[in-house]
Amino acid sequence: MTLEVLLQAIASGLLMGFVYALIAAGLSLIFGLMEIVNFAHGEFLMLSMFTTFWLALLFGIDPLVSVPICAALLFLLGALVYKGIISRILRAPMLAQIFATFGLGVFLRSTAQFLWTADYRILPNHVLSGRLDLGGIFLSWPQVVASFAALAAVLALYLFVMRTETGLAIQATSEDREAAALMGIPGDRMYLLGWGIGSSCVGIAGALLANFLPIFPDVGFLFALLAYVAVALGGFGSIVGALAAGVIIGLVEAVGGLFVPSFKYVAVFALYLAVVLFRPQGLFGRY
Amino acid sequence: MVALALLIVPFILEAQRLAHPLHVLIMICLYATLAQAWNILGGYAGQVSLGNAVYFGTGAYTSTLLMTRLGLSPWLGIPAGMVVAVALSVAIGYPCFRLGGHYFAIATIAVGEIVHTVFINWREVGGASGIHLPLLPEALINFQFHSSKLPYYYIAFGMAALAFGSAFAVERSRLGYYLGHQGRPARGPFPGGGSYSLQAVRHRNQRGPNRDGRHLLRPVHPGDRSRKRAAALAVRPDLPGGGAGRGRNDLGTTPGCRGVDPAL
Repeated sequence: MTLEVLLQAIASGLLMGFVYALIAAGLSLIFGLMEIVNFAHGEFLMLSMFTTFWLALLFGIDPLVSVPICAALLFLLGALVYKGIISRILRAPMLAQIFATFGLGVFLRSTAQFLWTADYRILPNHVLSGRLDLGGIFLSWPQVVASFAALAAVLALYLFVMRTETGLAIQATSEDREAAALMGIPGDRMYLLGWGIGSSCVGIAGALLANFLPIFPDVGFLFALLAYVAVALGGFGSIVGALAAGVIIGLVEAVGGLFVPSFKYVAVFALYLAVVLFRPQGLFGRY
Repeated sequence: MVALALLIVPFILEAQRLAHPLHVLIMICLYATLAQAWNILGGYAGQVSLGNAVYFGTGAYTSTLLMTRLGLSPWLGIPAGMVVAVALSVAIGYPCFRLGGHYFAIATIAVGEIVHTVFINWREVGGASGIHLPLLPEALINFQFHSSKLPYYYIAFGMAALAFGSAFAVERSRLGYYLGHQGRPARGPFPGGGSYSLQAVRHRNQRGPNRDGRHLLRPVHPGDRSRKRAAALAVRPDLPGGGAGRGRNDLGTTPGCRGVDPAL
């Protein structure tokens, strides 16, 4: 256990943390808007990864180029899911809302397994390959690019929500839908936009992850789990919180993995439970 | 009428040597029990627990370990399993119930994953491959029947009846009134008891039924506490009436409840 090994772990953890942050940010946006946790978020990620895979296999599109394509496709998926399912359960009891998205997730996962089998697939990388050597710390290029792209996406999301007119409209809708409607902001359209943007965040994350991770129907589960924990840790509805929590989780996972590899997720969840017991609304949460 | 049919149909199936439908009926009873147990917390108290598989598995592991290590009959193992599952649920519930709604759901998922990971890596209890039940001579005390699955059915049915009975009893008891009704989880000071410990009690009462049905000669393995099972458990109570048409999820319709609804 040298300093070098520790620094390596911290660097890896930081990189993965930014990706977790992006996935969590999308989730947080959706929850902040309409108080529905999208339990199918991991499956959206999985769909994005598979899209990247099939685009690369069938059309030779490099995974990096797929990022905007996946973002657009997942935006459409999110909008469709909102229109088809979510808009009907907005006033339903919490149980119904949880199970609607949970059920959607199970459905998507099973369909993916049915269509594409449970085999693990991996993409060869042509544009991004090799590793970066930072004085003894080795980082793989796909991971570095994925991570910084994710960070850029989170920042872009933050600026969009905080600084643009539409972003302010989304915030207004999340605070009080009726009042916003009185001001001329169409609540339904804002929800649709929120779902679309949240899903395209996870689409970007998926396309980035497909660069270096194996792709299989259950891949979304673990990421989604970490995303829920990140959102709850950072506070529902807070993008800054999602970023902070994503980084914390990435670090705990990596450094915890140094000491007790089989139990690294236990460390993550235990940390989450510890924080949330003393501060139920998460680090930056408002609810 | 339905109960009568449920009691008689298996005999017919057995006579016709239809093993698979009988198996399906056994699983129906098992899932109905689990669903009713979940209903107590989820339907009445409105708290979504996605980590119930933990208690199911804990109870199963307890009684199986007692059987393989100490040779105790499963009939003794069942209460032992209940005790352990209940203790675990109180330990988990007491701190977690200060969270509400979505936070609680995610906390239960997190706890479930922790327990799952621990059990997969714990060699003493079989690690990832689980524990296999030894094949014992067919006897009621051994809880193993080899010539037919019919006794399993009646045990499962009895369990389900017990679960329904206890849910009914809870609904009519003081505890039931304290829970408020679905959608408005009971919060705040209750007359005669702290708010969070009450929900921990609620959590506890449903663990008992969670534990009983594991001895259908299947190896006990960590998959039993997997999320798929938790998901299945969580989804099933949503069928009308919590699994068999007799559980009532909305206490608000019970006359006289309004007066003591703590959610107000």
